[in-house]
Amino acid sequence: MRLNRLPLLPLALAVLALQTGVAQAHTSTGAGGFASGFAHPILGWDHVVAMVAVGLWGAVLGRPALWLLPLVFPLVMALGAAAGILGLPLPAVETGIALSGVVLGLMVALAWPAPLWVAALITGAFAIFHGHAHGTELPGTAGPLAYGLGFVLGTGLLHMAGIGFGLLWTSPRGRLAVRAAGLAIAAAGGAFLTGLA
Amino acid sequence: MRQAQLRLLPSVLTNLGVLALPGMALPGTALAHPGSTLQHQAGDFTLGLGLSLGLLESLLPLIALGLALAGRPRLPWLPMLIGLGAGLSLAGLAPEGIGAAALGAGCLLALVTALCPPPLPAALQGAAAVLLPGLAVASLYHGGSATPPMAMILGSLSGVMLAVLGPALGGRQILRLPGKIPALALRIAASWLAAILIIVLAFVLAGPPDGL
Repeated sequence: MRLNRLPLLPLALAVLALQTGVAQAHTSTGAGGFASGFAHPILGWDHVVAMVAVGLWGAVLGRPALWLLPLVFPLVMALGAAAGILGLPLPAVETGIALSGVVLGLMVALAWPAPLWVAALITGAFAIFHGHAHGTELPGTAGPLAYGLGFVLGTGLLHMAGIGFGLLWTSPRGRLAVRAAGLAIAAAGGAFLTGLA
Repeated sequence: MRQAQLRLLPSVLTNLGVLALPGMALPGTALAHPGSTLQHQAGDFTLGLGLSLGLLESLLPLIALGLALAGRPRLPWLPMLIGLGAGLSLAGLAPEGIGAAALGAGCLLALVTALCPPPLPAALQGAAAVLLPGLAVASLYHGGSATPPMAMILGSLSGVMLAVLGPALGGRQILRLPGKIPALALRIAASWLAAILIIVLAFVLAGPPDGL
C-alpha cells in the first residue's frame, strides 16, 4: 500500500489515543483546573477504552449515531459528575465503568446494528458511571469552568480518536481492524471487571 | 461576505448604544464619585465589563443564548433590551439563588440547541432573549445595597452584549458554510456547553469545599 493511500488521520488519532500513561485517573493529585479536568478521563485506561469505544461504535453504526453518541455521552456524563459533586451516591461505580468497556467493546466487535435509541440508551447509561467517578474524585480546589472545560474536551478528544479509527470501517481490512479494536476493548473491560488490571 | 459584515457593524454599534439606555434610566449615583475623572469612569466601565465577562453565572448562559440565536438573520434586540431592563430593575429583589437559576436556564437552552436542528423556533428564541440577559444581569447585581456607578452598569451591559454577539455572529458565519457539518458542529458545541454548564451548576449548588 502506498503511503498516500494509508488512512493517516485515523491512524494518527489512534496513536494519540494510545498515548496514555498508567491508570492514574482515580488518584487525587490535588491539582485543580483545566489540566486536572482534561487529564482525568485521559489518564485512566478504564475511561479511555470506554470513551474510544463510544466513538468506534458511532463510526460502525454510521450517521446519525456517528455524532449522536459522542453528543449523548458527555452530556449524560456531566449529569453523573454533577451527582458526584453534590454527593449523591451511586452503587457499583467501578463495576459499571469496567462493564462499559466490555459491553461497548462487544458492540463494536460484533458490529451490532442497534437501533439509534438503544445505542443512545446504552451509551448514556454507562456515561453516568464515568461521570460519577469524575465528580466524586475531583480535587476540591478545581476551578469549575476550567475543570468542566478540560473534562468535556478530554472526553470529546477520546471520542474523536475512536471516530477517527472507526473511519477505517469503510474498507474490508479496516473492518477487521475495528472489530479487533472492539475485541481488545472488551478484553480490557473484562480485565478491569475481574480485577486482573 | 466581508461587505455584509461591514454593513452589519454600524447596526451592531448602534444596538450597543441602544442597549445602554436601561442603564441610563437608573437613578444616577455618579454623585458617589464627586469630582470623578474620565479615568475613574473608565475604571468603573472596565470593572463592569469584567464583571459580566468574568462571572460564570452571567457569561455561560449568555454564550448559550448566542449559540441559540446563531441561526437568525437578525438578533432580537428588543426582547434583549426588555430583559436587560427588567434584570437591572429587579436585581435588588433577586434571591441568592439567581446565579444558579441563570446557569440552569442557560443549560436548558444549550440542551435544546444541541437537540434541535437550527434555527430554533422564533418564539423560543424571543423568550430566551428576554429571560437570559435578565437573569444574567440580575445575577451580577443582586443583593447590592447601593446603586452601582453608571459607567459600571454600562460596562456590564456592553459585556453582556459582547457575550451574546460573539457566539451569535460566529455561529452565523459557521452556518453559512456549505454542507451538514457546520450545523452539526454548532450542535456539538452546544452539547459540550450544556455539559460544562451542568458541572458548573453542580459546583455552585454544592458550595465551596470544606476549609475554604
